Amino acid sequence: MQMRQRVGDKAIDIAKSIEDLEIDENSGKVVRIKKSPAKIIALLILKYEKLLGEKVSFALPRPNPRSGRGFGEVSDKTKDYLATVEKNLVVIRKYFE
Amino acid sequence: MLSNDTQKHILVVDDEQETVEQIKHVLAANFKCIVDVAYNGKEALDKLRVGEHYDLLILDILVPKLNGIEVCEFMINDQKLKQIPTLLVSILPLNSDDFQKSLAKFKEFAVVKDVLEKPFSDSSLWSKVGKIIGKVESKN
Repeated sequence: MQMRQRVGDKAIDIAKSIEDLEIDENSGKVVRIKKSPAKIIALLILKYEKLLGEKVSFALPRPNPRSGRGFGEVSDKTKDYLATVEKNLVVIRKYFE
Repeated sequence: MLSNDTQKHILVVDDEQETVEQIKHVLAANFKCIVDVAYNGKEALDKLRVGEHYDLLILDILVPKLNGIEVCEFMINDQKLKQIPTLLVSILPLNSDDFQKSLAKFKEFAVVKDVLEKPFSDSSLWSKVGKIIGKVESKN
């Protein structure tokens, strides 16, 4: 949705071109990710960066501060997942751009 | 059906069960082979380091723990593992000019014999595997 505000409906077209990503055309929100989210995120960011010609900053979800749980208390599984996403971004920027 | 006189040993590295099942199905239907599976890069390296001989590695780039390129980096620094031909697969645009330039530029891709973009058809996988591991013969 943030990308839609930045580059317009082209952002939705790009997201819709990814077979394993289901997008609500009106709201621009992701309805469903059919395969590995870490892979889909990498492909989506690569396509956006190609479109914009610059790096896209990507804010990963953080724990709700109201819950009283800080980022340092994120589960090991979540940390592993975030690390995988970050590493995937390194791969696309080194080898695909 | 493609196969050599001897049974081939193939390691598939992918964290998506659906893709693993597709690859296993194509290999079982077309080649005389034994298929092992690793669901992340670390598990793949563990299997490679045990000393088992593999004739082919089918490797997704974006697997957890160690990614596919890190696996390639380890392989090229090992006298035995760097001999294993590798088919790189990914949801990423492997046929793009940018990645084709990277394939030629970076030494970590020395083990890579071919690439295959996801989603791929059974026939495209069959064709690429056949070219890498060689002759074919029907199991019938």
